Amino acid sequence: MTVTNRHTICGVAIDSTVLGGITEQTLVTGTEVRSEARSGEIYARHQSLIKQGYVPGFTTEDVAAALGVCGLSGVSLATKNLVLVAQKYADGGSIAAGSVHRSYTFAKGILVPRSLSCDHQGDASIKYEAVTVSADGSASPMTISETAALPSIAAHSVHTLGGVTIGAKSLDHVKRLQIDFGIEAVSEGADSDILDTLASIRLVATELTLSGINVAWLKSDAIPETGLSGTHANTTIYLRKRAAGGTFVADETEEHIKFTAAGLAYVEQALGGDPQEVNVKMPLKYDGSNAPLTIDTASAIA
Amino acid sequence: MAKTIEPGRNGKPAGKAKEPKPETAADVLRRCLGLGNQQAAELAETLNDEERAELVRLAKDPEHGQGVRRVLDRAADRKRAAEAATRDKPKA
Repeated sequence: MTVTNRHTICGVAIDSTVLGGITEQTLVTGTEVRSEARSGEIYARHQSLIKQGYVPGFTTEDVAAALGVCGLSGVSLATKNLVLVAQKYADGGSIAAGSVHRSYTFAKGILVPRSLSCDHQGDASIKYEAVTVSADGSASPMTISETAALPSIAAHSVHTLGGVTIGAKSLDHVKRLQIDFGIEAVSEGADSDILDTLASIRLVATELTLSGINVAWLKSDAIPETGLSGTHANTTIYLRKRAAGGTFVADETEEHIKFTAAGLAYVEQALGGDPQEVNVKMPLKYDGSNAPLTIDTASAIA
Repeated sequence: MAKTIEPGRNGKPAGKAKEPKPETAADVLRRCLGLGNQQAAELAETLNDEERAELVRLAKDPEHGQGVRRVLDRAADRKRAAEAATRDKPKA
């Protein structure tokens, strides 16, 4: 047998925006086959495919571009198609030339951010997933092309930890930031259709987690034992943009990422590990005006 | 976009803090709906001048989430009516 197919990850397109910095692509079909033995028999006699739910996903370090097109409210795939590409290798070369790659296009459903993480000296990374649905309950939500050209990938931006202020208290010694967007995007179907036909967001319960090595985060004038309430006016988290060929982009340049949030921060774990680490959790809330987490991908660092 | 100035190793050059810019309708949408910058700009583009001005005006209220939602609801109804009028227009 001869191997003719070997593919790798590639840039991901959300409509006309091609994201670089991709570190992972996934596509789960969500197929359920019912195959159960009955009448006390030990073998199943009947099998049927009863359900499918395609979940394409990807992880990218191009956080600013990704959040720019898909924030906390997600994005409708009917408005902006999601295209994943499996990039083909050439025998005796590297990436195959021409329109010989495989693309997977999704045009109905909703794309949402799942989680964002960044470690000390690491590069911020964000994971997205889409809940896709069918137009009529039987037509596949996915279109595969065997003759796809590669998307044009431009240089992507890279961000790392910037400053963190919660409830007007500056938290230093930060080792890790994690944002769990907590977006419950679900699909709905009926009439025993194999594929669902409606996708929507039912709940957004975003939560921030910070880990740091300053054990004095748990302190009456930092985060008291009873927690610290933060508002959008006094709670900011920056991701600082790395400069290509340098260290960081100047703070005044409006290319950093700024989050503001409202919620109650509390110390979940006051000591642990070596060096001792403190974990702070901050489940976010709606204040009547702002989304629980606001995103600005073109911010200066104040 | 602000002028880029040479950073130090920590990215913090000396410089005066800038005056905050007045919020645009896109800023209000970004903040109130948790949208990304491009998403918010695209949504603001679909509104008319009056709706955009109302968003900026509403943002001065202490609690304006519902007000922003009402403007978007009205805009959606307006767009739906315009689409229906185009669709139902008899062909010449």
